[in-house]
Amino acid sequence: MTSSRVLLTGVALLLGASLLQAQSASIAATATVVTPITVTGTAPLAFGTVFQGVNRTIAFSDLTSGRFTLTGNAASQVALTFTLPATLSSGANTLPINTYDVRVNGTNVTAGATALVVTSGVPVNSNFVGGNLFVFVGGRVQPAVAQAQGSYTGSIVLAAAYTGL
Amino acid sequence: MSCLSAVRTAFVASCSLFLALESTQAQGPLVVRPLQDLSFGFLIPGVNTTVDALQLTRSGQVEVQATVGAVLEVRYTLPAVMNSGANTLPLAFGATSAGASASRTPIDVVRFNPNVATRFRYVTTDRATFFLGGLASPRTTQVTGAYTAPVIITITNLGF
Repeated sequence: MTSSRVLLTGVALLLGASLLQAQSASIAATATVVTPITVTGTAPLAFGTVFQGVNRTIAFSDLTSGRFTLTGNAASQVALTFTLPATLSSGANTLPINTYDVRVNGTNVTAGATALVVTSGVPVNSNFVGGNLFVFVGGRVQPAVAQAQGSYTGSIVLAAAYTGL
Repeated sequence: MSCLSAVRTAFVASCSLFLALESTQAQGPLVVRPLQDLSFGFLIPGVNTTVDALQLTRSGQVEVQATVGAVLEVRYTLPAVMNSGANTLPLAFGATSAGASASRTPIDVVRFNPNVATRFRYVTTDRATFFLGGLASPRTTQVTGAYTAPVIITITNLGF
């Protein structure tokens, strides 16, 4: 009798166990640790002496174009956000600046630099090349016929952030 | 309306619970499908980064298909670190790091703690998506590189 009861119990347990389905799946947790981005303004956009009523343009490739140097991770994509002033100031006087020409290159030369379509405050993507990115900024000032004499300045700001790509 | 309820928390969305009227009911297949890894993306040494469970482009996601009315137990095996060779990067999961949704959207999500087994009843749905977020804490001296770790989700169908 003992053996029969054990057999029935075993069967009941087996039936009970088969009602519990279990499945597993695996996903991954991933991350890439990268070096922080550094942004350095290395040269101002310098128009030099300008004359009343005479526009002056500095090309991105000119020696006095504005320059930024960025370092970061390998070939990672980076979002560049420029703040481009609409005027330079000298006390209460302003001098319009516009027609910016912004280019980037993986080496610190202007030859072969790629033009960026830049709107002030709007991120535009580019990529590091071997962890480096060089930015060249040209532009145009438009002094009025009665432009007040003086020294005019403004700030061009570049912010950079990884996009994750 | 499809509906999912967390039995342990007694949370009922805009749906109603109903009990199976029969003591025995044939169960359909239990299918667990990985949909997306938990991706923290780029991390900077010394800067903690959180991925919320409902950050749909980054959270880990698994779809579980079962029979309507089934009660499922969800259990995660969570890593404490991600690895890149011999280097480790600490991970943590909090009380609301996980979520479940019958619609794979934040609309009807039920938050839960992935560190403990949690039961859900498939009230009127036959499938749900389980989301997982977390906190990555790279050290200030964290070595650069790609880090990874497995996350295992085990689903047990407890019946009706």
